[in-house]
Amino acid sequence: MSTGVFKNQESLSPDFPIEMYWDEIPHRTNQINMLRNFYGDILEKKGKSFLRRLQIIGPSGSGKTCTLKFFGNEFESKAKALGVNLKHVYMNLKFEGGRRVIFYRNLVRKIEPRLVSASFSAEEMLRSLVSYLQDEQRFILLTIDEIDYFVRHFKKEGIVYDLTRLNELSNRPCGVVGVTFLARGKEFHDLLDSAELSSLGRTFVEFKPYSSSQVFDILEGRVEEAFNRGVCSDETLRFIADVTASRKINGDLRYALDLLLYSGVLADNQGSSRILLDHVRRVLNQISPSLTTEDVVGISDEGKIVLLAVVRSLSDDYPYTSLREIRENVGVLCEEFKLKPIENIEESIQDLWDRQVIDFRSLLEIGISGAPVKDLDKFLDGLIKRLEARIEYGTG
Amino acid sequence: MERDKNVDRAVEKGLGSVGKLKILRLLLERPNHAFTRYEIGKNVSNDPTSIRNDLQALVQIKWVTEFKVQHLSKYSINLNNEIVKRLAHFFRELRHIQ
Repeated sequence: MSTGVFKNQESLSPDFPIEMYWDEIPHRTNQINMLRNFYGDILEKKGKSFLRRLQIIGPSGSGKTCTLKFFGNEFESKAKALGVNLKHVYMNLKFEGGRRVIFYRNLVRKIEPRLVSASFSAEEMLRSLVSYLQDEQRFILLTIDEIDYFVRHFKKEGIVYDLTRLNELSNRPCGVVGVTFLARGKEFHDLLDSAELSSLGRTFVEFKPYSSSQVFDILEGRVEEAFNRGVCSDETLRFIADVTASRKINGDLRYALDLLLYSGVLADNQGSSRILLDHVRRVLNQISPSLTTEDVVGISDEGKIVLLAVVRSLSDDYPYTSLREIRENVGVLCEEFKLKPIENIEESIQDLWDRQVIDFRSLLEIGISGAPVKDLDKFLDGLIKRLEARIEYGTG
Repeated sequence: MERDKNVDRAVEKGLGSVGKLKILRLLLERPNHAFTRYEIGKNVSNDPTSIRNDLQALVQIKWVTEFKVQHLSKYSINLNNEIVKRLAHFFRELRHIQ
């Protein structure tokens, strides 16, 4: 039942699977057509083709993930209609990555859980997967998200090499018909060795940041889904679209959705039946350009504590804090939330840095990426609330 | 009475699954409301693909009307359809809907 301004608040969540409910991904038709052209003939060959590799490059919030999920669903349906046993498997290396063996275990679990064995090495798991696909005449289209983060954080894990050379495990098609790697930029290429870079290939589809009118257009559909009629005016939506398309935000649609969601929550809390420009402006002062809800959700529990410690350490106008202060605050937070003490703070700091959530200049200068110094207090208050809401209390 | 094969086919298609019946019931309960697929999914416990397929079938036999609002497809019951009118009456008689 809808209350207040919202009809379906959850449809503004970063987890909302818009690709399942919309018939198209607005302003990504060209990219979808390129994917159709690149992978299309695989189905004509009934899946019996050698592995293809593709990269999708675009900044965060440019629609990479939902476009690939949309295409994957469509590809799966077309395969089914043609009698090809094909499945699209989406893997997010921020959530499902880690060590190579963990990644392959998660991958295999999504394809055939019975193949998962704790005693298998990464190589054995991959080989058993390929044998299974070949024997069962099953095919997989793989989408690997956040490859740039993974390569930065786990340089030596060699997943790019493994996944782009699956064909070499046997002299017939391996069952994985395509691997699409999603990244925010091409900088991770510099961290790959020549063999990995060579097998990854140079082919990529670019996702440019959304323009203001494109953001407006997409948000119109989201507003229709999320809010009751008349809650969000064109003027408010235009303002959110303009802010989102600014150079600082770079067309990040997740940012626009956050802005819309929190403005709606604020309007609701104030008993307003409409989202006013003032609601949006007030929320704008509290959220950071570089940190969306999805970023917060994706951080490990220990990482959230460490980030909260960083935020709490930044209590005045100076934008940086020291590792020592962070460590002290982590201790306090662990007590506060009744959690076990965190031993390896450095690893969480490194992870937050790799995620571009924090700035790390030196052991004495650690800050939050993109946090506006002018409104640091308001921003930190907002972030503390969001983080606290995401940290669960321990059992003692 | 002579049987109308078109009616037979429409009824077989429209009432051919529990999923379609649940969608019809929901749409008949709020005949003036246009639902998105997500809204329907929230009320009808079925997976999004099945809901899309069921709606396609109901649109095809013109029991449900589909129209676009921005990039969203919305759906409402077509009370101009004779079979739907009778179904609404039938469901009401059975107290299937309010």
